[in-house]
Formats: sequence, structure tokens, C-alpha cells
Amino acid sequence: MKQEPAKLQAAYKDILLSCTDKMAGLSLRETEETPARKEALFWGSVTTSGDQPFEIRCVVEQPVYERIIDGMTRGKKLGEEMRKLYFAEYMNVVCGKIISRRNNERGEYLRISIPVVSCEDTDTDKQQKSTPIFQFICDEGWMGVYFL
Amino acid sequence: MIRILVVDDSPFVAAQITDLLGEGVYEIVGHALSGEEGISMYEQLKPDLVTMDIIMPGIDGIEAAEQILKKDPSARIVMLSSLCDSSVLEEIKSKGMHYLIPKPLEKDLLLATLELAMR
Repeated sequence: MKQEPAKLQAAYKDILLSCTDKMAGLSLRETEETPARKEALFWGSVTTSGDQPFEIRCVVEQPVYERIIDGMTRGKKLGEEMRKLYFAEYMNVVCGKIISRRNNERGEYLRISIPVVSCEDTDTDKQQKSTPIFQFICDEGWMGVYFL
Repeated sequence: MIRILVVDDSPFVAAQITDLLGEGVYEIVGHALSGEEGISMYEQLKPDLVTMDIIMPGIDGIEAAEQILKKDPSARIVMLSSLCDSSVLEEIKSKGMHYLIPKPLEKDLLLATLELAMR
């Protein structure tokens, strides 16, 4: 996918930070460094519509995944499948707002798919060959956001 | 009590709406997980108002809302979505819906929009 203009990238970052704070009460901090992996990597993604569809993938260390969901449930205990649905909604909101911003700026009409969530420790080829557009850290660990 | 049907594939949203509305004027009478289920539950429950997500498995919320309005033109439907760009607004207006609340939901905006929709 072609590089997004700096103004749009900055807007995407603000959307992600704001939504993570509002939905999960979690303050992420941007980082330039990819730390050495300590924990399993989970991810959520959506795919856009359009002639040149692309994927927005949010990769998180497992403790960050758990922290986002715990923030959304306010600590209520839920089974694994239900927790996946909560993370899927997080992805739906973040990515929906990012694409809406992009649509308004570019005069396009892209839509997004229903989010897919993977809770297997998977550092896929797609991610390994790509550079994250953003990286964040928090007390629980690392998050990387990719446009694939 | 104003009876609300929530149509959204996300359990988070259903829980959040219940939490934000609290105990008072509104009662959640059903939660449908898809557009198709929402259409069926609307006919069974005849709620006063529907909150309808847009992105769902199967038919999307806009199509589900259209089908409900075809059968009951007096249905009150409030769309909810993270997709709130001008093209989405135009599409829902052209299909007969009047209200769109952006996600993540905020209490004041949710309550104000529901109140408007009930007038």
C-alpha cells in the first residue's frame, strides 16, 4: 500500500490513541523501537473494500490484548470466545474511524470487513516483510499497527 | 418505559448501551446479533425504538433497517457505527434513516439522540 500523507498518518495515530483510552482506559505511548519479543503475539485485522483493498492489522503482545479487553469489560470475567468478540469490537471502532477519516479526506467510499481476531502466537510472513506504520508501548507491552 | 431492541453483533455494545441507559426511562427488550435476527425480533417484540449497528455478518444494518421500515414505516431506528463519513451519512439519509451515532458511544450523545428519535 502506498504511503499515506503525514497529515493523515497523524490523524490515524490520534484516533487509535483516543479510542484505546475511551474504550479500555489505556494510555499508549508511541515508540520508534520494536522491542525484543517476550510474549505471544495476537492480532486483529480488517480488510477494506475498493479496487485496491488493504488490510489494517493491529498486532499486540498477549498481555496488551488482555489489558485492552479487561479495560472494556471493566474486569468482568468472560470466556475466551467472548473476549475475542470484545477485541473484534475494539478493532471495528478503531479501523472504522480511521477509514472514515481517510474517506472524508480523499473523497472515497471505502468500507471495512468484519474484524478477524487471531489468538495464536503468529508472526506471519505479511508482518515480517512489513514495517509497522505505528508502534506503541504501555506497561503491559507492545502494539504494532500495519497497513498491509 | 421506552422499549429498545439492540441490533449489534458485539456483546460489548449491548453491555455498553445497557450500562449507559441505566435504570430509568429505557428498557432493553432484546439483543439481536445480526440484521436478519433483528428483522425477526422487531416483528416479534414491536419495540418503540431500535439501535442498529451497520457492519454485521450477513446483511448489513442499513439493509436490515430498510427492510424493517418497509414493513413498518413508523419504526424508529437509530444507526450506530464507527463509520461516520459523509458517504455513510448520505446513504442512510437516502434510505430513510435520520440518526447516526458514532462509536465509541458517549452517554450524553446517546441519550440526546434517543430522545430526539422518540419525538
